[in-house]
Amino acid sequence: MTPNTPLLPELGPDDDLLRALLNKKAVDNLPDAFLLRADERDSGLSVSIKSTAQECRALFKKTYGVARLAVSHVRELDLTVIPDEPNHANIVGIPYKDDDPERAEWLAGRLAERATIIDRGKVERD
Amino acid sequence: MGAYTVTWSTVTSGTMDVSTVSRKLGSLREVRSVADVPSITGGAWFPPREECTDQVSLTIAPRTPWILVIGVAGGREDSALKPIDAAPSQGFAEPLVIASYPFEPSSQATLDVTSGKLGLAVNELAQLKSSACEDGLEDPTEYANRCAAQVLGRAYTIFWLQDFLEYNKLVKPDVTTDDLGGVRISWRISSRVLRANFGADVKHRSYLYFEDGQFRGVDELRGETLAERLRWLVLK
Repeated sequence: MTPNTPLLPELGPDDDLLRALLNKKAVDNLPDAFLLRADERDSGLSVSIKSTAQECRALFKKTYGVARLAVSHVRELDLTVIPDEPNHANIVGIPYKDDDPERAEWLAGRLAERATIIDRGKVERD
Repeated sequence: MGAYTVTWSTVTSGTMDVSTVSRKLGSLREVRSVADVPSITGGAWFPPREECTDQVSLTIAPRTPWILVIGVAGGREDSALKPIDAAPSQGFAEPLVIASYPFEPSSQATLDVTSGKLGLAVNELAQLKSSACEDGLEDPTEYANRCAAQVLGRAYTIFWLQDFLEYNKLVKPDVTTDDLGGVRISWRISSRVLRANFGADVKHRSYLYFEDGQFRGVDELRGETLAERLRWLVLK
């Protein structure tokens, strides 16, 4: 490992995974927040780790809330959490809805059931 | 703005054309008269564009109690339009424009959009276009919006014709867009979930997802399949 390579954290079952809610409708219809966006098709579902809700929101220009999952919630669905930065990880194993709509929609529903919205309201960065 | 406009298309492969539909306007007026609905004031049928002669539209004066004609029978030129059961209690407060509703030759119905379930769903779809940016959503693509309006209109019409009492149990759907501008329409009653996903364009998949506990699956997204699943949603 070179000196510039950041140390990636190991995640325990109780660690939090934070998913930014990027539109108002996702706050009321949480499964939509756990469908892969097109730019997540290859990498997986993007989540913040070792972060506060405010730090999670700060990564985006406009957010409407933050949903929290525990790592154990994700693992019990046979999904894997892979950190790729000190404060970021991808949930791997969720198909894109074009590729496998049944599993994508089902997993979105199960993740939404396990998630808790911990921060609400529109926040817009300059 | 002084009028409502309702537009729909006939199928070019059917036996209907503009002149036939225009003749049916007479039938519609008679039906409305029989049903004791105030007659159309200032209404007129006309092709909206010369190059689009398979479409007709109806313009109605403001505050006119109104029924939306979803389909006019094709193939049987003499078939009558279905009368509505009762007049709407009041007219629209504001002008309302509803997008095109293509229909199949076998579809034949009238729906009261001032209080109807379809009106609620269509309004949600229409509001999506105006509120998407403020709500942090992608604007719906023209393709997805058109497909959603067509399938929604056909499904509700089929359901309404099949079982009016069950149809009235429908709840207002949540309408949103995905990150590419595809339209997503969701219904939930108790443990039963229905999600219609209209891809942003032809390259993206459209499908109908249904779920009730461990029972789940995906159907092809068409008016007929959506009507069947909407019926499943309310029957319990």
